[in-house]
Amino acid sequence: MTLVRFEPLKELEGFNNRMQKLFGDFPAINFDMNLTYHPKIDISEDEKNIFVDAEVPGIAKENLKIVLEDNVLTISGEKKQEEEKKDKNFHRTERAYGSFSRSFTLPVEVDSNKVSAAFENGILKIALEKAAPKTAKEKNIEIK
Amino acid sequence: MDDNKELVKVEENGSQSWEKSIGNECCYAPAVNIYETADDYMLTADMPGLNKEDVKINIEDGSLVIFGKIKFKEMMDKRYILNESAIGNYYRKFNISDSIDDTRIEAKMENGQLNIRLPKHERVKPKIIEIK
Repeated sequence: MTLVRFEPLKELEGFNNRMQKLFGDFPAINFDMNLTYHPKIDISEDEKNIFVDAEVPGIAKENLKIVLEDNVLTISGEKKQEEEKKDKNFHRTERAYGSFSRSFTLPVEVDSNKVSAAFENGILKIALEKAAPKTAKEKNIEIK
Repeated sequence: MDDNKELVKVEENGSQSWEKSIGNECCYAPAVNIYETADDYMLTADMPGLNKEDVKINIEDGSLVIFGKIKFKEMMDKRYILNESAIGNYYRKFNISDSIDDTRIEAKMENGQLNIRLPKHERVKPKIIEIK
């Protein structure tokens, strides 16, 4: 018989894996979520616009990139650790670092010429104007 | 009849006092990093969306309290398609040791990131004693 070290968290992880297997697309209880950086994003709308707000505290404006292509909005960037880690004695590290890229298919057509982005207090605010709905063209087809 | 006035007072949202906000709106703990250098403890907290007027730092009974007030009403009233961020004020309390000189604490807000410098007392810093 071998002795196995008791690791309560390991046990939980195993449980999570079993749940994943059981439910397939069960919303992931992700154990290593904190290890990779993943900005939180809110998308809201009003009659005319779609607003995308990304929480990117501590990232300089220069390190962010927004691309709108074929109604797919991609936000990418990199969050760098402030300074060198050396001779810093960490007591707590809850904030994640690294590069990220997130893409969203927008729910309605937007006008790619009417997009504006602002960066304030660590939130990237993108406003996209909805494209005017295409008026369905009626066409009578003549029966010959 | 002053008491009555208090009873029918209409709460204007958005201009709630700090204390009321803690009570009525939800609060979340911001993620923090804490590290130590030879002279200071440094604390960094992620509080996106706030500028320095929205953040309050208090030292009381040996604890450091950070509180950030968001525009709660405005956030709640949006028509969300996707909402990943937790809507709530930021609140977190830390016990600080008496090795921190609480008269010289400095804080600054930058890009939604709060940096607090907690200097150590002179007496706890390593001192080299010269041999004569």
